[in-house]
Amino acid sequence: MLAKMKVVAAYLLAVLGGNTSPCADDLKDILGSVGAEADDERIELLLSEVKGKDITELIAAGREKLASVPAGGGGGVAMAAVSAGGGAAAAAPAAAESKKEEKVEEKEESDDHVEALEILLQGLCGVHKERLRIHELCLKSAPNLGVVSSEVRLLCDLEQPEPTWTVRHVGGAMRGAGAEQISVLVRTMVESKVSKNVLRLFYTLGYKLDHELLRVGFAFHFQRVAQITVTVSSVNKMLKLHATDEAVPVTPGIQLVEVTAPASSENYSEVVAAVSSFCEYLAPLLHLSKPGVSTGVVPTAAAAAASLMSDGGGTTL
Amino acid sequence: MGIKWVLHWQPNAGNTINSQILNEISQCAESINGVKEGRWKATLTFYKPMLREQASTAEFPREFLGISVPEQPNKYYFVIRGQKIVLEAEQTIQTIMEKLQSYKTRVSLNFEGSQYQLGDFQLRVGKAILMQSESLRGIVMEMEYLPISSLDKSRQIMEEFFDIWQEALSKRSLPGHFTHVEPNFTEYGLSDNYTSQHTAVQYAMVTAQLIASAQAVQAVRN
Repeated sequence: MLAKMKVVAAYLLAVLGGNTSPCADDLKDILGSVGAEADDERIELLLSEVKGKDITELIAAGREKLASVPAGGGGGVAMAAVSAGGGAAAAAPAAAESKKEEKVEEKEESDDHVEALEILLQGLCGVHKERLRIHELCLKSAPNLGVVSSEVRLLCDLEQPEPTWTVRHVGGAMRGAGAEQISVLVRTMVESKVSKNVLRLFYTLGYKLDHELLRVGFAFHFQRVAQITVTVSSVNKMLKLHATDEAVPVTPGIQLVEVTAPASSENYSEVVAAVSSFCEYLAPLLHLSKPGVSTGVVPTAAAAAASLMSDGGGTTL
Repeated sequence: MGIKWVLHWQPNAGNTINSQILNEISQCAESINGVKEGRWKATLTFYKPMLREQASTAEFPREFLGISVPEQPNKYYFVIRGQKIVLEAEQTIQTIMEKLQSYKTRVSLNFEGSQYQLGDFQLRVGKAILMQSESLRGIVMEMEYLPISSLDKSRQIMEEFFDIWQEALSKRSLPGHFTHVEPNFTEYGLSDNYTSQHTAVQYAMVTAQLIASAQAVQAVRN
């Protein structure tokens, strides 16, 4: 699967670069530039599948047809191709811009694989990304307050012209035989937008700051049955209280990818189906795991990132 | 939005309130050509801390109120008068408070009644009742002037209208009068530009006044 994905990625990169009908040698050049082996057979297979077709025609042909391109479970990538053709001009500058900003903010090694993921996600989501910068304060109840000790999160969205605040409560994980069988962890989450003095209110109520962090990355918001939000962010800690400008990454190079959608008891199963089906497209790009279970890098994603961004891309997603 | 005064009915010494007074007030609103425009409702809930042991309650706020106001049905407000805090939130904050299990709701007061339109003014007259018992605990009135949202700029016209209203009401020789106690909004971090947070603070204030006058009546009886 890894080899197939490489070829598709190289093909997309060529199209993105303005070559509407790349030949086998073009793809080999691209793959060679990142030290990847070119597989003649696979290249020929791919080119025969897409021969004579404009990338925009492939969009029209739809996802099912694209899925028949020998990309091996590359539904997500096929969707990315949709965007690459339809909005190549828009996608590429967005990536460049983000790269610049991230480098200014984090001064970390270049996260080229994140940019590859960003381009792919943009196609998958069909919307432009929004920058994400959220200051998260986790509060805990005072020792003798409450039947049990409780925890509440205050989120301050620093990307807004005037920072906006949200209170979030995350419930315990769903338990029981049913929960064991599914591959995800289900928790209830309730949020409320609030005015900016919310921290003072909770301090007054007897809550204390447990820890705080800064999430930096990007997000996609789109409607697909449910209102789905995909965020890709890195977690940063603050060396001094509330010093969001001096935050440093907790786990450099590691990004957290979250897919969320609001649901109520009435539309729960529809929303779950919508999120699951979206995650099927994500699956080739990332390993999805229960929180706390580390799964390492998806080979296809690493390869796609490497091919697209002409970088080793060996860092963990 | 415009600007609003929330007032409460202060019975004369030795008198109590009854629904007859409320009827008279409503008739008075119609007699000065108020056009009845349907119902309105506000609620106020007392929260109290749930403590694990006989912990000192001193470290937690003595009075913590949750309020929903007529003009913002999707919002919910918390007011802590002791620390001069008013917070604006969405209705879901009530679910969050339930899930936290650190504060529980004790009693709720409902304010409800009829709304009258008089030109650029709106009057909302209503009763305060305990949600569980339905018994009348007080009479309140909202006086809203729609064209202006500055507290300072509207003060004169509000006072003039209130005088007209008092005069109309005085003809009925009721055993009491409406009182307006304006909270110090600046202490709550609120500006001159009127918002629903101002309304929430006024309801907290009015409730405190209702409790105080009920306790005064009790004291006289005893």
